[in-house]
Amino acid sequence: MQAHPSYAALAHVLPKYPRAAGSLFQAYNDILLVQQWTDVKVIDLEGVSRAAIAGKKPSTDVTLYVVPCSLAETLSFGWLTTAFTLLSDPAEVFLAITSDDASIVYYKLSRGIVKPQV
Amino acid sequence: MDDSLEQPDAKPPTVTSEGNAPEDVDQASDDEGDVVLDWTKLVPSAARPVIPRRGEKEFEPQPGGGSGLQLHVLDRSRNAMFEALRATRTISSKAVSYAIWHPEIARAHATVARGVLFTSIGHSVPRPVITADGAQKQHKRLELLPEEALYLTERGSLFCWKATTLDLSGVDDLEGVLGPPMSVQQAFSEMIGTEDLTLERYQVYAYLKRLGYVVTRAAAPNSLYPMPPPFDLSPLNQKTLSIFGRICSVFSSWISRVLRIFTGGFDWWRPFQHSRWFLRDKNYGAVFRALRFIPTGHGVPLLPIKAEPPVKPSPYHIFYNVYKPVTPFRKSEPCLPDYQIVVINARTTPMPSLRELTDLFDISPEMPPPLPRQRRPLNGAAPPNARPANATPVQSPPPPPLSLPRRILHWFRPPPPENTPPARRPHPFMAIKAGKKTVIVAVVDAGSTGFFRFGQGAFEEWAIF
Amino acid sequence: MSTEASDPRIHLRVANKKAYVWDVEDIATIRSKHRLCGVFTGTLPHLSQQNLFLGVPMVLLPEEVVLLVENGFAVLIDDPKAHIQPSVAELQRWNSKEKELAQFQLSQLTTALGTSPAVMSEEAIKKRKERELKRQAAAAKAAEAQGALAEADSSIFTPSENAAPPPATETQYTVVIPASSTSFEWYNDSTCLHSSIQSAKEAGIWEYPSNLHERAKCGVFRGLWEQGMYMGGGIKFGGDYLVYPGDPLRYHAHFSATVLESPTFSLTPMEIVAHGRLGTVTKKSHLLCGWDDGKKEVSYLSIEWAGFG
Repeated sequence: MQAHPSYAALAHVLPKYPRAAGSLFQAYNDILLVQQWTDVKVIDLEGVSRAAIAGKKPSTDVTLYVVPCSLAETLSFGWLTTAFTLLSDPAEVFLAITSDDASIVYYKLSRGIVKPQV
Repeated sequence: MDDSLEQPDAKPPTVTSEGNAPEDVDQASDDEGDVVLDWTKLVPSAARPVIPRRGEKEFEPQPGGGSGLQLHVLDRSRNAMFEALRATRTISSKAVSYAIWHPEIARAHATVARGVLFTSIGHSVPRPVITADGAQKQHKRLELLPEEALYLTERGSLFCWKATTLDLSGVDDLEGVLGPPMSVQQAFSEMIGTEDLTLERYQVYAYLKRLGYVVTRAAAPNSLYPMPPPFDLSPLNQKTLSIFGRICSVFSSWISRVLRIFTGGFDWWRPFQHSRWFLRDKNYGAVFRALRFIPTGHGVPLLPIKAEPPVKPSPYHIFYNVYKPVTPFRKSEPCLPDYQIVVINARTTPMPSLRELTDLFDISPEMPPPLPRQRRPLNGAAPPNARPANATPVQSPPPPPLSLPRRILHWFRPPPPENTPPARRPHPFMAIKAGKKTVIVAVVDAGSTGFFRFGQGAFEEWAIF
Repeated sequence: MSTEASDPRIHLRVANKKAYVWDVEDIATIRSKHRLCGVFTGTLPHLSQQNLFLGVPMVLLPEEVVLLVENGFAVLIDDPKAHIQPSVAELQRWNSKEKELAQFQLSQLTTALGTSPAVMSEEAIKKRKERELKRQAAAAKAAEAQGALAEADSSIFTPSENAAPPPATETQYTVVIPASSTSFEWYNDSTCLHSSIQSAKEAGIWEYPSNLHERAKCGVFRGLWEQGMYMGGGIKFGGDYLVYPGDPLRYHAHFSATVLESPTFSLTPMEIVAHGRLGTVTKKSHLLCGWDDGKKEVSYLSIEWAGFG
């Protein structure tokens, strides 16, 4: 992992949260290289024992937040609301769920009752 | 693999729940799951009633409770619904049946039974009766289980009296009255809760009865309840071979290899393998069998439980036997049921554990693998029907008398049956998907009933590799 | 009558720990004024061979019952206790009323038929019988015009006697099987009335909510209801409830909702994937509702597929 070019940006959080390191690494690379987000930054969220990723979708100017987690983990409602609070209450947070076969899915979580699109 | 399914799109899936009882209403109510009921089509009640078609729904009301038009349409739909609900249960006095509900035995004694519904409802029970000369005789009378009595009452075919200790026989002005009349409300509150009947079980019973099925109990509530014969639980694929066939099967691999020299398909680089005798375990089949150290198949019993058994008995037991409307059903001697249904309350019961499912599968019979659809033969003759679960043997014309040498030959090798259709081998994936045994669970969540089918597959019997 | 000037609260008839509503006016009030839909479980008399449209009684979800009683809109009646054994005199009065109704119908039929002459030829008798049968059928239809509908299923199991018109000389009237017991003189629900959930629990007729999960469901239901939503059963969408912005008769559901009984109740990412995926495919969002039993609060999280990845 250390030889990978993305390691430099994650070097300060990967050893700090070893349990979340795999999913963070996978999500960071996916966001940066596959989804091609711009302005990608790493945010330390000590309250949920991992780091989150902030960035902008290509050709947009809104900062979005991605919290990675692994399929094998167990979350809770309180965990999700804490993540929102630590990110200063954005309108929506993306949960990136990674698995050991290298697949990743993103689900959008919004606080409150948000209607689906028509 | 399923790349096309990885991108969820907004189109609703077409849901087919296998084992679901076919409905005679032709719209599939689960196209979206959100059933669209248009009660306005029910309003002209004087006209011939027609099963209504779907209406149209909107996305959301305008802010402030809805626009004027939306409120008007909503009011119209609601009023149509309330009008339809106000319909009373009436029946001609020539067609009505009467029964007396006895709460202490949880049965309704049908005094007058009219109509074709009674050919599949009710059972006869002998009860002691005091005759005119004071002697006690056993007299058989028609009795209804609580769900049967409740269904007939709330359907409007049965008028129920409640058994009473009051002596009404001599009172004037009370001819024909055998007790206090029971309203449907009273029937619901008194009949449900007796004889293992819960509201969920009643809802499944009524659901199936409305569609025309015959529904009986799988566990006899008393010794006099007519029960179908037990299922044959032996496995299906025990083949019986003639003597010649058995001899052949021993040498078949040898003979087929010898024949292959002459018929082609013969590998000249590996002409003769004495694997059966010299290199016993070096063929592929034997190697795979040796690698299989985890026993597979449902013949392997589950590990015995070490913990004590749970306090409450599991709700996963078969409750109803269901017969299709076309099956000839005789009340006194029922035949084997077409389906067996387990009824579950979704709010209180979790998914079945492996042990509960195994217990259910152990008492279910094996089904033959589903055959592929028959293609229409070219000469225009009608194709034979697909085999139903309980296939009745086909009547064949009696064979002509055989001479002695022919009979000996038949003993060695039975002749192929005449006029067989071309052998239809079941498709392996269809057979694995259907499974060999089936358990149908009716899940009731606050009135909505869903039917789910658990199938026990047999992957190890199909050589896919 | 269930709604009187002194007690405008709706009477919910409780039997076997389920609450039934039998009066169509009450059903209308519960739906229009209180935004609760309930589930119908009875057979509609004129459409008895299908399961899409069902009729009275309406069964309420336990959460709906708790909401109505806690807000003071309804009271719980111990239904088996309310059905008191009638006296002989009460039965006589009931029977005489029934006989009056039957006589009224028969008199309508006989006046429609008219009187028949004493002596007639064979042919004339045959022709008159045919005419009488036709008039009988027409008069029977007129007698039904009050709103009572004859048993006319469109199913194949209808006995053939319903299809042919009844013979002219037999007496025949319509028997009504009453749906609700409030028309009976001997039904009295004033003595077994409970106006709070606690008193109903003490009397042993009601149990809900009995544990944390059920309290959480009640709390979430109330929270969503107070936002102005209508709720329905969620089993067809793998959730606890379906949440509608307006009456389900006219509007599609926006959400399927699941209840999480505490902020620490474990939730796996696989469930989030399953809920989100199912919701997106069916044009709804999934709503995770978390209940905090300490603060008695609900908080919501909406889940939707992100659209990328």
